[in-house]
Amino acid sequence: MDAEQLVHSWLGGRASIGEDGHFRIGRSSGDGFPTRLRRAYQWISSQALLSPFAELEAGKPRRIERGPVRIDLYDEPAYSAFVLLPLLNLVVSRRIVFVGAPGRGKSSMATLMGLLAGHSLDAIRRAIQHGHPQLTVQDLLGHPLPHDLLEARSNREIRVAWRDWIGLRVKVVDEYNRIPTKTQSALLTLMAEGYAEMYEQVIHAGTSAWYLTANDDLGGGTFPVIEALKDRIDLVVRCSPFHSQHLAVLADRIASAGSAEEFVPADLVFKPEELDRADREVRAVPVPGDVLDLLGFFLGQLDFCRRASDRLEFMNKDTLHLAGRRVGHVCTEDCPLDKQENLCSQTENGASPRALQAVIHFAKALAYFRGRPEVGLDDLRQILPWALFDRLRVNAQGAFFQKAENKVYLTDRVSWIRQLFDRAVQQHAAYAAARRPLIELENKAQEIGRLGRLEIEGRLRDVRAAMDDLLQNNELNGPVYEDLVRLKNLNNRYLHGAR
Amino acid sequence: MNEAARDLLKRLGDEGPRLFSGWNAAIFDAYVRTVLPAIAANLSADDPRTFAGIAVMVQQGVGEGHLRGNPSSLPRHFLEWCLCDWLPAALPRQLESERLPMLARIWNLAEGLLREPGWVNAYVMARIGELREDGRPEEFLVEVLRPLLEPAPPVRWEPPYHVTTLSLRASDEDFLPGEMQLATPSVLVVADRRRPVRLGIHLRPGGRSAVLGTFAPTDPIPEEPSTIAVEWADGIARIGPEAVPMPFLAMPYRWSIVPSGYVVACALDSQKLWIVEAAA
Repeated sequence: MDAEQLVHSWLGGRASIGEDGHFRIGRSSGDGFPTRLRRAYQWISSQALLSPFAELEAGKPRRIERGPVRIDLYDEPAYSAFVLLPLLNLVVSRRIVFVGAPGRGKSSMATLMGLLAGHSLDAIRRAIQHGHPQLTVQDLLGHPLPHDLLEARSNREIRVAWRDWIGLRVKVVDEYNRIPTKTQSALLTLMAEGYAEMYEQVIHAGTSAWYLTANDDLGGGTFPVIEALKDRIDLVVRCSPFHSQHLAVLADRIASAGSAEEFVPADLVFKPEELDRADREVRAVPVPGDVLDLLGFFLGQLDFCRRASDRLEFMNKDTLHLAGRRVGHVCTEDCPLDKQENLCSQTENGASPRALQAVIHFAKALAYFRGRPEVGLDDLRQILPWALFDRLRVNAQGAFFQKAENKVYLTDRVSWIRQLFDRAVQQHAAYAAARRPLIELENKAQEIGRLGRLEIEGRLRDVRAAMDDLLQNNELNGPVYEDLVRLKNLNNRYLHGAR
Repeated sequence: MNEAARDLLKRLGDEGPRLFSGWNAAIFDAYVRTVLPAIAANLSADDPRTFAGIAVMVQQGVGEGHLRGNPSSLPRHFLEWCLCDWLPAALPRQLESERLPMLARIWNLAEGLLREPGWVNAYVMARIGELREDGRPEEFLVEVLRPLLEPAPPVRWEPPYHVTTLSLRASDEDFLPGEMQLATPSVLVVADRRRPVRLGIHLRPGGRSAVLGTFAPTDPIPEEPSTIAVEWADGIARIGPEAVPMPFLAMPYRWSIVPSGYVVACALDSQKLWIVEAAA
């Protein structure tokens, strides 16, 4: 491009003279969505809801250590989970719960997300569902029209006045652990299936980003939260405690009688179509095979229990639970595995496929936010503690937690899950050589459809030999179990191919 | 400033934080105190639209983060310079009907420049003093950028060759020149050997080559096959059949043939560039 063309191209910018003869500058479209998201993060964390800690850290750590105190300083920008994770949830339209003591900004953060999505402050305030012990299904969803109740000859003729909040993109349920169990079930259908039904009338929730709050770290409250509802929550975010460095800002707010959620700057308001497009871009962020393999390696170990059964297929913690037993009952000296080394001994349960999907979706969103071309281990490491926070239960009787230096993990769940993942990363690297034959056999299995009977018999012998080899040279622990299941599955695929 | 102007500025200032997440009230106030009264003083009272246009430019500039420095400090880019230095004098020279279109052109040119690599802006700012009060900014920019962007006429690789040296130390004390690539036909980007730092060199005839400033990573322009062979022997660059003595350069560490008629080399133990220039 020559100089004349270049300068001419600039002249077609967004400043112009309107039909009314006034000078005007159109809306900026130059910044990509991740840049605007980062601006939103900066604005919230510096001006709206102050978060003293940036615990989503990535890059290379440099450790400062004095006695038992260890502080890691990373060489990449860190982010506050309390600010960033709700923002990512707005993009991926999933479900998040804020936990923490009253006054920490849980409802304010949820309100801010509604404002970022373009809802007015009044609309958001009207739409917030406040959990309380008398909240009925009709309070939550809407009422049948009284006239129709009297006149209708069938349920189909009863029209329902649905609550407006059901149609909003951002849905906020405050203190959801104070909602009665029956109403929780109605909420579950809306959250999980995206619709509500009443008098045979159905309303769809549409694409929604859910924000729930609970005033108790353990999810307790007036009513116990039903497990199915808990399992639908993709991330648990702890609110940041106050730090004295922000006292001056709070004093200013008192002086100006202002509050955090009074307004969101116009350049941070996202249109629904922009959020939809951003989610499509997030979903398109690739997860490299080795990252996915590591995630599988980690999660596979959590579910494994060698003492649950003698059969490979049932060596998992579900088998124990279905029999009314817990890991603590069998994770004893009768199990030959080293309880310090094997991750299976630390957890009471594993993670569901639903949790896995949430981890991958949010890890993609984090990579997108950070401007990374693909999901990396850093992204997984940051997301996992918040995705498994409420889903992974500690085996507190386990030998691992009896060691003095590990007892702290019984109170600090985020660090506990992070150390689980860090150990898995180390073990994955150490185990790579033992896994190589499995990877080669799986790669070869791509051509099953083209193989003749004799070739398939040869492959079956290879699979059996690999299983034999694996068992002979390794003890049966979580990683070996994972590979044996995959090899057995491979054996089955070849048998199907032979028919 | 009259009351209407003051009201307008108050409204724009109040609106700022509601429109822009990067709003900086202190910078806006500084413009309200210094730049805008000077402009208002040069405009007639019956031209409120022009003043309103400039006030909107300042509001947008502060909100978008284009105007970050105090207006009394040295302007860092085209928009700051126009608002603080050029417009107060240039506006009264324009016909009233031409003023708003000129503001629109200035804003668009400024944003266009800001989207370009930083060195383009740095180069423009180095020559910004050449924009006259009665000049047209777009014509000035074309004139200034032309030698940077347009292909040089085919060069005759013929003697006499003129050798000059250019020290990079003044631009970056620790710079050790290494790999080189062309960013435009006359801008050579030289990378530091040890650090992720690049300097842009504007190659100009008559020994007037100069450092443009630091560069972000740039895509090299497509290289054409060189029409001249260059070989090196002790202290000599053999350019085609011609032996050109290279003072204090026994053997180059890296070197590049620039099709517009330059051979540029650096040494392992020096912060200088040796620039050999062919006859015009």
